[in-house]
Amino acid sequence: MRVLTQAEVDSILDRVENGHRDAFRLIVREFSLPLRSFLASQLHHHDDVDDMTQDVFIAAYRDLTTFRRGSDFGAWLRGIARNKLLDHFRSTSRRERALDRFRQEIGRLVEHDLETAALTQNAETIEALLHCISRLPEKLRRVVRAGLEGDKPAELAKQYVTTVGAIYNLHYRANQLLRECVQKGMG
Amino acid sequence: MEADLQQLLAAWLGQEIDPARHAELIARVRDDEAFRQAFVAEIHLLGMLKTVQSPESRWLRIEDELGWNAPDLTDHEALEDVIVQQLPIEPPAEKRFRFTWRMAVAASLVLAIGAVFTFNAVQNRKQAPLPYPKVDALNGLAMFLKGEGVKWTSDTEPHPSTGDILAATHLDFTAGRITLSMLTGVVVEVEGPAHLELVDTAKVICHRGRIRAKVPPGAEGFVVLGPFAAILDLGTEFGVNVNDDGTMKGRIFKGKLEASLLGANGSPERSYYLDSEHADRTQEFLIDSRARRMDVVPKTNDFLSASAATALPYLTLPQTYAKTVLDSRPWSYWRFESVGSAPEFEVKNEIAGRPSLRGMGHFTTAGWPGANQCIEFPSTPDRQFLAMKELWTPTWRDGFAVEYWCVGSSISHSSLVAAVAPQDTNNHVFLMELTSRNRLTFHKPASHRLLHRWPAGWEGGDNVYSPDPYVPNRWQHVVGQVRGDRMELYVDGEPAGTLSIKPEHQDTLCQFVVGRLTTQPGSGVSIDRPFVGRLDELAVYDHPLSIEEIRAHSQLGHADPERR
Repeated sequence: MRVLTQAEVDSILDRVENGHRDAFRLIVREFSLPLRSFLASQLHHHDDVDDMTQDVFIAAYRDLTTFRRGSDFGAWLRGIARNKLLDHFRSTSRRERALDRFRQEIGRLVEHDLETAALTQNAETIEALLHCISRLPEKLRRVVRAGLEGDKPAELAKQYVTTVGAIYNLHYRANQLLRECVQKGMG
Repeated sequence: MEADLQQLLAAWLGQEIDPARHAELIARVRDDEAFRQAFVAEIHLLGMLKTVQSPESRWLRIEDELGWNAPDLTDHEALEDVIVQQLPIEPPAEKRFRFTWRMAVAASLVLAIGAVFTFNAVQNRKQAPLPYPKVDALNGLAMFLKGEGVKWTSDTEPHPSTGDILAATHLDFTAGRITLSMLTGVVVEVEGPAHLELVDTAKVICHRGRIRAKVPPGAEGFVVLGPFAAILDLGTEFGVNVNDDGTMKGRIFKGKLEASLLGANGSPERSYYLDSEHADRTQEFLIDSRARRMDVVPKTNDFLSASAATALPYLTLPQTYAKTVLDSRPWSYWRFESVGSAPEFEVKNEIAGRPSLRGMGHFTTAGWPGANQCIEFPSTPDRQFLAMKELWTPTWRDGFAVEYWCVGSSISHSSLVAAVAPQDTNNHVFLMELTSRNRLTFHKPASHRLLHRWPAGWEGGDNVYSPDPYVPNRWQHVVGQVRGDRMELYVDGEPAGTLSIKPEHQDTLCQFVVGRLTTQPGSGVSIDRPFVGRLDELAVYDHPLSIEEIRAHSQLGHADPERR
């Protein structure tokens, strides 16, 4: 997939503002993967991620006139996403629940670093991941495919007759290999 | 994977952990940068993994909102790309039509035209120039500032444009004029037909063409090599013509240089010392390396004339800009709508009861009448700076931020904002600068720099440099701030770097200096670093700004190239 240049993004946005709504498809196609990825790093449920991604795109479309041409559109979308995330956590978390308070505090502390990490990522990077997953050794690939959400680590631990900690370590090792692979692929 | 990281990830992913661990993990994330980065790397990658392994969403609500007809995106991908990039603006597609036979005919016509257009567009795309490869300023030698009517010798290779950093390379063109700035600040103009080779930041080889070079103080020692000939700059402005017959002619316009005929091993065989200040000294020379001759010749005018200085752009801001800044509760805010006149330059503070800035120098304002004004720092050998009338105490505990808009006229190591303690020394606790390459410092060149030092001192410290270079003649919005145990730099509304700092500070009265490294007389890399350019909307906050505030401020301003 070819990544749009900034001038191309600006040109598409100009067309959208001039009433050519279909051109917004190109924006969704270009930015949906990185945006979903950004949200998925902070939300558990897949449905929440897709719902919020749509909310962000709709808000962006409505406020398009406030976006300054020449700026990073992906960063602008993430700014909208951050506000949506805050609203989401305010509405769903229970302040009396220690884990919710803990997650919110951690989220605040890593906000800047997550944004910095997201700056280097685009749809091309994420697609390179698919190729890299397929090159993982079988056991690591299974762990990565299963993910670490919910009861998955416990289920995998049972399946492999090992501990939950060992599953986390396998995933951690897989992540290291994936980062190296993506870096080589992008380089 | 260490146990803390595993526990943190488990909690982040919604699994209950012992609440007694919460405070410890929060403290670890806050205080241990390596641990925090490791955690961010994990959740960042987990987010990507979740995304690539989940099915593509249908975007039904977006379709409803925008009134899309939901065609298959992939079927039309190539055509859409071509249409979006190549077609002129289409009329708004506000109304929906019912499908009729007229529509069928129209659709056929559109398809036929589209096919022809697609073919042409694909052909055009094949001929479109490739983007110039990005070079980090750390590995770069020069920045491409301007090209005027340039016809490059090669049609197939990517060519630089304004702001591109150049590594060691050849620049070969048959016509036109280019302007480069070496990252040391040496400005080189070249007129074609020309072939210039960049060797390092202090050396170029001119195989052919006419060159004019201007070497600022501190960058002396710049060398232009020709066919068995060399010019060593000693602080000058000079011209060199390398002709097709292999002869090289040079002339001094200002300052001093040494010109040499080189032997086979590259050492100077014969040389002349040129000095523009003395009429009886050599002013122009001709080197014929084939004849092994070097002669003084009468002054001529066949050298490249200096291009007119590029006027700096104005900064255009909406009426709402000041209110937006004031909404962020600055401790002090100077708009530079007026600066007074010599010898009483004074810039009022927009915040009642807070100190004004007092100026030493020859400042003017710049801007279209009735529109936003900024302050201009002209090029001058004299001491020039602004300083807050009272001393400032950085609010280390709550954090603080310094925000401004700036545009420099050249690549030059120049200080924008300096917090000096005690006053009138060269001991800094906080500094925001533009950098260049020089032999005496180790900075990343052509970058925005944010420095923190504790205790105040004149060496060492914690540095953050912007990942992308600043470009002369281009306005940028910059924020440097301290947030707890971190220093953060933002350029044009985006994070440009962050670094942990030791949070052990004490309240210290600082002199707040603008446009110069120190108030001390004299010059030198650790004394003056004068800023030459324009500055606007300087604000100091007694708290850090959020990224949303920074973006909101940044997005309101833009350069106005038509109004100089």
